[in-house]
Amino acid sequence: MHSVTVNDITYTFTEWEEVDEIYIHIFTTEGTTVCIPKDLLDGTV
Amino acid sequence: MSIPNWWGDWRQGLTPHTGDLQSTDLIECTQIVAGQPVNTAITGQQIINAASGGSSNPTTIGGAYGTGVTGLANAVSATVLIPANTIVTTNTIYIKAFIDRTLVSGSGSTAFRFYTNTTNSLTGATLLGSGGSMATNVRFQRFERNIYVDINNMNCFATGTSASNDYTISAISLIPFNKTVDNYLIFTVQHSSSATDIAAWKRVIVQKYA
Repeated sequence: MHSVTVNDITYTFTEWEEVDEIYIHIFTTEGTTVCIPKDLLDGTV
Repeated sequence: MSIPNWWGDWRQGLTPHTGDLQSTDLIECTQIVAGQPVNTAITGQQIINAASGGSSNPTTIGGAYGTGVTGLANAVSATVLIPANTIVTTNTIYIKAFIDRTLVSGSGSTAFRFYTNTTNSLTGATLLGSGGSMATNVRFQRFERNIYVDINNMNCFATGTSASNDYTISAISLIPFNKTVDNYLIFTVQHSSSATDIAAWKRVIVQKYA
């Protein structure tokens, strides 16, 4: 299980897909798809 | 509270109206009752409501003329702001757009995604869906989505389904939505293999149905 916090919202997820060289789509445990920079895995912005 | 401007009454002390009708304007209607003039007033808002068929639906929230995107990154073509408190529970957000590929090499395809975020950034943006993928020499797409807003969520056509419109049945995707803050709709373009292709969300209009 991974987590990332963006704009004070923490998302947890196990699966993701690469979008481009910068971004991935994470498939959150809440059922949404969120775009984050790939270098933020397990990180915070 | 500001003093309204008046139409049809130039009595001393009342501010006559100039310019376009405003919702706060007052329009005097005089009746003769028992030989005496009786003055009543209707508001500009009453006229505005009546002129739109008794309803203000739909109202336009905003629009954008998207820029053409090249390269292989998932890049922003257009953004539309939904200002805080524009949407209330039970409103429907209606998105219509004209999408085109103005330069096509004939190889690969182009994806057209759209997201929502409380900042004008893809970082942390939640996917709301994708238009139809356009390949080979397909250049034109008319895009539409209706998004019902309940207490806490946007109720969307399945966000994982790529489709030009939501006229058909679908699973539902519930996307958390805070109506009391600014929200951005972010429209992106990504080419799969031909970095010199150009495509855009050329014209985006976002409306609200109350």
